[in-house]
Amino acid sequence: MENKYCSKADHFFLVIRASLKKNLLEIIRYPVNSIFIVLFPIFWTLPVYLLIYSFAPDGVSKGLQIYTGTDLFFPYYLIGMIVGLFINQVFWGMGFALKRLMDIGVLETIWSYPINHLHFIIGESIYNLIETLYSLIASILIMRFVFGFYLTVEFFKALYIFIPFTIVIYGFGIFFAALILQFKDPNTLVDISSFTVMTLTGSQNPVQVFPKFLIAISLSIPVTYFIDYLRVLSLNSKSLLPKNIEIIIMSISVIVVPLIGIKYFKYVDKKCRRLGTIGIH
Amino acid sequence: MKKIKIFFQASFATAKKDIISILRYKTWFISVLVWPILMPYTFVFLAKGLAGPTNEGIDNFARLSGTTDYSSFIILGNLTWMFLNMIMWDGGLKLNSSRRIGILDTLWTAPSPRLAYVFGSAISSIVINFSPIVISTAFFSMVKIISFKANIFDLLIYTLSILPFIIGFLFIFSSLTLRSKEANLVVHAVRVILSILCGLQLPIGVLPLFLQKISLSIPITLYMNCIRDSIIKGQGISYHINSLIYILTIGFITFIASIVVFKLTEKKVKNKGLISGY
Repeated sequence: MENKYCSKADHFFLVIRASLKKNLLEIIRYPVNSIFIVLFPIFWTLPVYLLIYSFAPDGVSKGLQIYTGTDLFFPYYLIGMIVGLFINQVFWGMGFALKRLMDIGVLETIWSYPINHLHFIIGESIYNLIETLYSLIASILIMRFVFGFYLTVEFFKALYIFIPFTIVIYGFGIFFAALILQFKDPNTLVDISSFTVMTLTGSQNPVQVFPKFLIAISLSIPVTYFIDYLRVLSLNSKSLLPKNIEIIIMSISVIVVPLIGIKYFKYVDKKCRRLGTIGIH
Repeated sequence: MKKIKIFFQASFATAKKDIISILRYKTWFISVLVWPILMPYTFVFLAKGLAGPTNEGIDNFARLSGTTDYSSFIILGNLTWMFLNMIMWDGGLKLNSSRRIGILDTLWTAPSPRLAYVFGSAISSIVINFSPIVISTAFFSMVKIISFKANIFDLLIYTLSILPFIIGFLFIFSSLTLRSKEANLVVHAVRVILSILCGLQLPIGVLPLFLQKISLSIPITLYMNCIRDSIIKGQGISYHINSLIYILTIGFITFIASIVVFKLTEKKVKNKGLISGY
């Protein structure tokens, strides 16, 4: 019994190592991409920064004060941006990696290896996580010294929130990878899921600005509470729900979301293998 | 005459192929119909968070943009950005994606003009993306998020007048993707630079003065101003006749120059054997 578990663990790390090595070789092959990883969040944020600047040149917003109780828009936005980037990278890392392998025609070959497919996509996302950390640190520094966006000391004290958050977001990522396997078109799915998980969770704006039906959707997504709780701890803003309830929702989602993601992935994986649609795109 | 016929035949064949590949995926209607409605909301919600429930924080924006109607300003900018973006990049990136999936060299050996592959992709983008932009503009004006005061024919004339510039830009960009195998960085950089310089997602008043001058020399900025002034303020085409002449003149110069650039790149790529390989 013990040997069986050891071998499963060895197997898991072997797949992760191989996946990391594969991605590292690609980075070496296309070196410009490593610059792109750092510049991407800047490109992505620059028009938004200028739009924010057109409303609140000094980063202090009367509008935000009325909605949330804090007028510090720069750190408010930066916290959302960090979480949003994190979400996006995991989504892209898990889902888009599969589509790319489909496009270049090697997914079927990889899927026929005697490996656990779930381990493989986790491996892909671990590489992505490293890439995300690299890109996050670079963008926080650039945002600080070029644009003047800053984070409060309290934010760094609240970083532990990222541990349960990573587990939840991996659950979403695994679910998303299964969607890609099923529907084969990641661009649209990434756009829509990014909108749902990023915009509706209030990563860029207070949830209070939404119409009532969107507030209901927003409050049904666990990620909303992680972002809100981070802002409450970092900026002392008003929480959406009483803090205790937010903590209970976050705790439940840490268990439920990954379970649903894994279950759905296994179902789609089995279905695709039965129908023989793995390599089709 | 025969050459022109062959060019359009190849262009339409490419457009047909691209449209079939888009419709091949079940989720096409989301990107074509749902996304143009969802995407501008991201910016509108952000602006609403800054403006406050009853526009308490809008003074600076109103001063820079000349309007307090930030929703219309942002939505029209985003829809235009989306439309132009898709046309400008699709042709170039299609060459890159053909290279990635290993069919570019096969396409290149076909006895047809290579520019037609890019032009065909632009046609498919216009066909697929124009009606959704119209539908979403209609949607936003029906739900009273934007105030629509424009004459539709004016909007059509503005849109037709910008096409030579956009297609010329697309040909130049395609030449670049033919030469460079890592086009993503350039794509994202130029996309953002154009979005900022042309005031598509923000008022150009926020830029330093020297950038504002550059901005006003780009046809897309003038096109954007025409569209916003028509829809938000109800200004007729007579207000923008000079802009229209400028857009058309620069558009045709860019278009002709881009054909020359593409032909030169085609020759260079052939001599250096840069087509295959990824």
